Amino acid sequence: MGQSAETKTSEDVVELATFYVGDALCGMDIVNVQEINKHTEMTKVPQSPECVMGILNMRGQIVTIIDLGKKIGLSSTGLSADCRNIIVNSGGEYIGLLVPRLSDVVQADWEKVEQPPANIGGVQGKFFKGVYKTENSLIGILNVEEVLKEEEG
Amino acid sequence: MTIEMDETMQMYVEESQEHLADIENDLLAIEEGGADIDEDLVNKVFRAAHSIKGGAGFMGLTNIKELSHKMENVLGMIRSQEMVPNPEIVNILLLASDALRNLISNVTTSNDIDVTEHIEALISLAEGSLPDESKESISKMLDISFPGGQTVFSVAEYDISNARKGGKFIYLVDYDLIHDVHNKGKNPLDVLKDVEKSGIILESKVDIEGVGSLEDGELSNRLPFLILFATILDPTVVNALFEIEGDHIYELAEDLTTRLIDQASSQEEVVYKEAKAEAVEKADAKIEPETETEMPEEDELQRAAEEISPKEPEIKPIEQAAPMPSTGKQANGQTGSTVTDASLRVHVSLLDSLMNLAGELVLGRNQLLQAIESKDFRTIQLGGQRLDLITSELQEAIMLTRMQPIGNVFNKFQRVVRDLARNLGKQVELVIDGSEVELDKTIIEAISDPLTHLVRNSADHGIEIPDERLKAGKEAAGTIHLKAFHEAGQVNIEIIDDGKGLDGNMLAATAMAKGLITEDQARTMSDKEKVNLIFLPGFSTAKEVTDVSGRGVGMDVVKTNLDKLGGVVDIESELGKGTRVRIKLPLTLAIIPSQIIATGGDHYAIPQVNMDELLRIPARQIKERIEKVGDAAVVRLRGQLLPLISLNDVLGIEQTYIDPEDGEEKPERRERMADRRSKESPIEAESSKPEAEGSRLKAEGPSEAQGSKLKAESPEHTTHEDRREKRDRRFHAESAVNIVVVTTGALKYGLVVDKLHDSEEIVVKPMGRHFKHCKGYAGATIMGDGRVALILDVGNLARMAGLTSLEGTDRATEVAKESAEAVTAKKDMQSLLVFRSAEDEQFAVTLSQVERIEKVKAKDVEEVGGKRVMKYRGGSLPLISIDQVAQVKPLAEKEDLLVIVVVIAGKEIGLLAIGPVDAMDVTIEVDGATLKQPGIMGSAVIGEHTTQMVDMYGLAEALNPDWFAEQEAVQTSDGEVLTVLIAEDSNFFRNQVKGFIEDSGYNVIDAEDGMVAWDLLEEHADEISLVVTDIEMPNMNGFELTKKIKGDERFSHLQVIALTTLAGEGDIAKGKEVGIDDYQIKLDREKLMESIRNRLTH
Repeated sequence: MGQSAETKTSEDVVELATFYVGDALCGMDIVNVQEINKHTEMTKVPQSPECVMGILNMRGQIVTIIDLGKKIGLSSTGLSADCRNIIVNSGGEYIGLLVPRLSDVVQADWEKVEQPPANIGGVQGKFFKGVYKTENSLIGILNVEEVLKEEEG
Repeated sequence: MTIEMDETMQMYVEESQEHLADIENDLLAIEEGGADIDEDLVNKVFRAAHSIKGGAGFMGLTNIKELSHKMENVLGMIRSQEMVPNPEIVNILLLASDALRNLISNVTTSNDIDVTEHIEALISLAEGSLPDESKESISKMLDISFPGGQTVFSVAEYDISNARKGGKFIYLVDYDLIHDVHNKGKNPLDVLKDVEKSGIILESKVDIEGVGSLEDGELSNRLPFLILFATILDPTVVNALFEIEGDHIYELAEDLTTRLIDQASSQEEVVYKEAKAEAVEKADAKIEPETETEMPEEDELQRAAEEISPKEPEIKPIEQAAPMPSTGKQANGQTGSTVTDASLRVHVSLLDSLMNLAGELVLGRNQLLQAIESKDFRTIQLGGQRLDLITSELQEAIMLTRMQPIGNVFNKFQRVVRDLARNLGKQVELVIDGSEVELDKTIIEAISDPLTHLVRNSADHGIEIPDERLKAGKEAAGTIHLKAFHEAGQVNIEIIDDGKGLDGNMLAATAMAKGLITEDQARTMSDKEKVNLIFLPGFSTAKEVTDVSGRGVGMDVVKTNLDKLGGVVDIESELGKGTRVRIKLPLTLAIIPSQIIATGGDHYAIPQVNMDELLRIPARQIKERIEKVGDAAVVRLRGQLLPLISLNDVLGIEQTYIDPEDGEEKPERRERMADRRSKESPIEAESSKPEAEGSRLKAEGPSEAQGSKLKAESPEHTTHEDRREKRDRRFHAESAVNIVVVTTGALKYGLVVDKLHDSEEIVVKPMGRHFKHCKGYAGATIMGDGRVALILDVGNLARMAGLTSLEGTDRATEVAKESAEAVTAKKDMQSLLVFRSAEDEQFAVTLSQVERIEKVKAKDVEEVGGKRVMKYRGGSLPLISIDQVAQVKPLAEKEDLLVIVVVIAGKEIGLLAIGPVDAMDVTIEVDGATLKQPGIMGSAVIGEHTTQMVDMYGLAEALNPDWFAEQEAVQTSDGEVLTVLIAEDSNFFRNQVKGFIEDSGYNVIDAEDGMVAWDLLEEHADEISLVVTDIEMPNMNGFELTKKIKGDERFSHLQVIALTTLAGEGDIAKGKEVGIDDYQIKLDREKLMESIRNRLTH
C-alpha cells in the first residue's frame, strides 16, 4: 500500500524497476513487481513453449519462469550469477521473468513517456507501452500483459 | 431491482437450499403414498416451505415469499386431508419447488423472475379443493394496520382464518432490529426461528418507511421489524416469548383492528403503565418516535445500523449498508451461485479437533525451534516425529471437513428418473444404496454431470418400455440400481440396470462404420472390449437423438470428465439382461499417493490410482522379454504382451545413461530397448563373467519365464555409492529397464522410465497458463527437498504416443486367450511371492496378502521392548522373522534386508526376508503335512526348491496374540454352534480352511467334491447354515453345486461363499449368475471369516 500511496501523491511519476535484456534497458512499473529473487533450481517442463524456462517452487506456489530475452525475440538469457527472476502476479498466478541483469529503480515522469517505435533494439514494439528517456539512456517500458500472453498454437 | 448479498442473506440462502434439497424426494414419497398420508413427511415439507417463506418476508424477497407461501397453502391442505396428493398435484408442487430453487440460487435477481405461472397453478389448486363460499378468501386481501391507521401487511383472508383455527391469537409484533435484536447479540433469522417454535409466522418484514430519511431531520433510532404471528399463547403471557416490552406487541382482533396487548390485559397493568403507555402508543402509531435523550448518539446509531445491514431509504428490501461505494460494487459482482459454493457447514466437534491440532502444531514447532537452538539432535528428531504425526492428523481432519455424502448427488436422481419415466412412458424404479459414502466436495460437484448422464442413459436407452419388458419375460417395471461403496481406498459407484443391455457386436459394427476401429481389431476384441467401445470419442449409439440423453454429449465426454477426476469407468453388459457401469473415484483430489520416478534427471509423479505394478527387466532378460511388434515395443508380462512407451520419447527428453566406466552422464546411443547392453558389450565380457554365470544359474527355473513382479523397489536396486563396484556392474539400476505398469480406463501399458523412487503423498498444484498445451501433465507438486516435480497424466501420454486402447489390446488379445486357456487347463493357479529368510531356505506367501515390499538396512531395524520395529510412513511397523516362530534357519545376517508388508487384523506387519524375491503364478500341489509346523502351512516344490508356505496369520498370532481378540462365533438363538459345509478337492486347502473355521468356533463338515458335498447336505440338511465351496472340483464343480443348492427349495436360503485362488472377473460373473453370494480368496483367512460372520448374522 505504501508504494501505491506514494505514486498517487505525485500523480504522474512512476517508479520503474529497470533491467537489461541483451543490450536494451527495459523497465516496468515497480507496482507490478511481486518480488525479485535469484532461484535458479527450476524444473524443466518438457514440451512447454520455447520461452518457458521451467517452473519453480516459491514458498509453496508454483511459479512459471519465462526467459524474457527469448520471449521478446532477443537472445536467450541463460543462467548466470547475475540473472534474476522478476516475479509478477498476472491473472491470478505467479509468473517469473528471467532477466540477465538488474539495473536501478528509476523515477519516471509519465508525461514524458513517448509512444514506442515499431522496433526497439530488435524487439517488436508491441511488447512496450512506451519509451522513457533519461539523461544517458533509453528505457523501454514493458507491456507486461503482452509479454505474458501465452502463445497460441 | 437488485438485492445485495450480505451475511444474513447468505445464511438464508444456504438454509433454504438445505430445505429444498429434501423437498423433492419428500414430495415424491408423498406422491407414492397417495391418499395414505404420512403426516410427518407432509409436515416436514410444509415446514420447509414455511421457513423459506418466513425468511423471504424479512429479506424483501417478494417472489420467493409469494411462491413458498402458496406452496405452503397447498401442503397445508394435504396435511389437513382436504386434498389428496395425486401425481398432478405433486407435479405442480415439484415444478414450483424447481422454480423456488431457481429463485433462491439467483436470489439477488429473484424479484425480477416471473413465477406467476406457478403461483397461479398453486392458487387454482388451493381454490379447487375449497368449498365454494370460501374460495374467494384465498385471493381476497385484508389489510392489517397499526392502531394509528398505518397499513403494514396485506394478508389473504384465507390465511387469517386458517391461522385462527384452534383458538389461536394473532399478534402483530413490532421488533426493533437495533435494540431488540442486534444489541442483544441476536440475528434476525434466529429470532424468526425462535418464534416459529411457538406458532406460525404469517408475515414478516422490515419496515423501511418507518425509519424515515435523513432529510426529515429527526432520524428515527429504531428499525422496525414486523412480524404477524399466530399462536395459542394468550396476551398475558405472550411477551415472554418475544422478549420485548408489551408495548410493542399488538393483538389482532376479529374485526382486524389492532391494539396493544398491554391494554388488552389486566386493568391494573394498564393503570400502572398508563402514563408511559400513552406516550408510547402515540409514538408507535407514528412509528417515528422522537429521539430520546438517553438513546445512543448518532454515530453509534450509524455504527449499529451498518452492522445489522439496514437499507438505503429508497429500496424496500433490506440491503447491505454501503459505507463506501466500492464495497457495494464488490457485493454486486458476486453471483448467486458462487456465493452458495463459497461456504460449507462443518460440525463443531470437528472444528474443535482442528483447533486442538493447530494448538499441538504450535507446541510442536516451539519444541522443534528450541531443540534446533540448543542443537540437541535427539530432541530435534523427537520434534520432527511429533510434527510428522500432527501434520498427518491435521491433514486427515481437514480432509474430513471437505467430505460430503454422495447422497447429495444421488438423491436428485429420484426426480430425474421419475420425470424421465413419465416422459418416456416407462416404469422405472430407482434403488439407491450407499448414500452415506463420503467424497471430497470437489469430486461430489464434478461427478454430478457424468452421473446424471449415465442414469439418464440407463432410463432412456437401457430400460425398455413395459410391453417389451413383459414380452422378454421381465417385470413391467425396470430397476436402476445406483450404489456407492468403498473399496481399496477408492469409492466405487455402480449404475446397474436390468434393461436390454448393450449389443457388443452392434457397437463394434458402428465403430467400424465410423472408421474408429478396423475389421481386424473388431475380430480380436472380447465382448467386454466391444462394449467399452462406447467410450471412444465420436461414438454415439442412440439411433435417434432423443430429448433425454442424446444431447450431443456422448459417453466419451462422461469418460473424459471422470478421467479428469482421476476416476476410472468401466462398463459391462449382457444383451437382454442389463448393463452395469462401474466408476472408481479417489476419495479426494487434493492429496494423492503417487509413485515418484525420474527420467532425464528430473522427477515425475505418477498417481498411484493409475499404477498397477512396477517392473524391472534385468539386463540379461531384456533381449528375451522386450520385443518389437510393428513400431512399438512390447514386454512379456506373465504371459501377456504389454505395449511399452518410453517417457523420454513421449516427452522428447534426450536419453541419458550413466556410463559405468567413468560415471558421467552421457547421451544414450541405443535405438531400441532390446539393443541395450548386448551380451557383446565389452564391459560385461571382460569383467563380470563369473558372477554373471552364477547369477544366471540362480535365476533359472520357472521364475524367469514367469517374470518377476516387484511391488516396490527391487532388491537389486543399487545406491549411488556401490554403483562403482565392479562386481555389481551387471545389476546397475541403469542397465535394467524400469517399467511402471499403468492403467487408464481400458488401456494398460508400460511406461519406461530411467529410475524408480519411493512412493509419496503429494499435493497437487495447478500449473500456469503457459502449459495449457502440455497435455502430458496433470499438474505439479512440490517434493520434500523443495523442488518441483511434474505429475504425469498417463491417459494423455498414451494418446501422445499414439497408443490407443485398441492397438494395445489387439496385440494382447491372442496372448490373453492362450493364457486363459492355460488357466483353465491348470486348475488351482496360485499367485505366490517367493523369498528367502536364510540364504538356502525358500519360502512363499500368497501374493494377495502382500501390501508392499520395502528395502531396509539392517541397522534401521530397531529393537524396542523386546520387539523389532522400523520407522515406516510416519509410524512404527512391527517386524517379525519366520525363525521367531517356526523352527527354521535364522534370518541371514545381511546389511540389506527386505520387509514384506502384509495387513493382518487390520494392522500392518512386516516380515523380514532377503532376496531374491519373485512373484509367480504357479500350479502346485501343496503338501500340508510333512513340513507343517507353527508359522508354516505346508510346503511345495517351486523351481526345484522345496518351498515352505508361510502362515502369516499364525506368525502374527504367535507374536501378538492380543491383536486377535477372538471374534465370537455366530450362534443360533439357542446358543448352539453353527455348522459350515466345506467342499474342496485339495487336501491342503481343505484342511487349512477347515482348521481356521473350526478355530473360530464353528462345526465343519467337509467334502472332497461337489457330489459328496451335495450328499452330505441332504444328509445334514437341518444342521448346515452355510456352504463354502471351491470352484474347480472333480465330479461336480462349485458352480454346479451352487446351482443345485439355489435351485432346491430346501436349501435355497443357504448362503454360498466360493473360494478361489484367482478371482477372475469371468468367474465372478458366472458365479453371480448361479447364485454364489460371495467370493473369497483361499487362505485369506480374515476376509473369509469376516464374510462367514456377515453371512451368518444376516
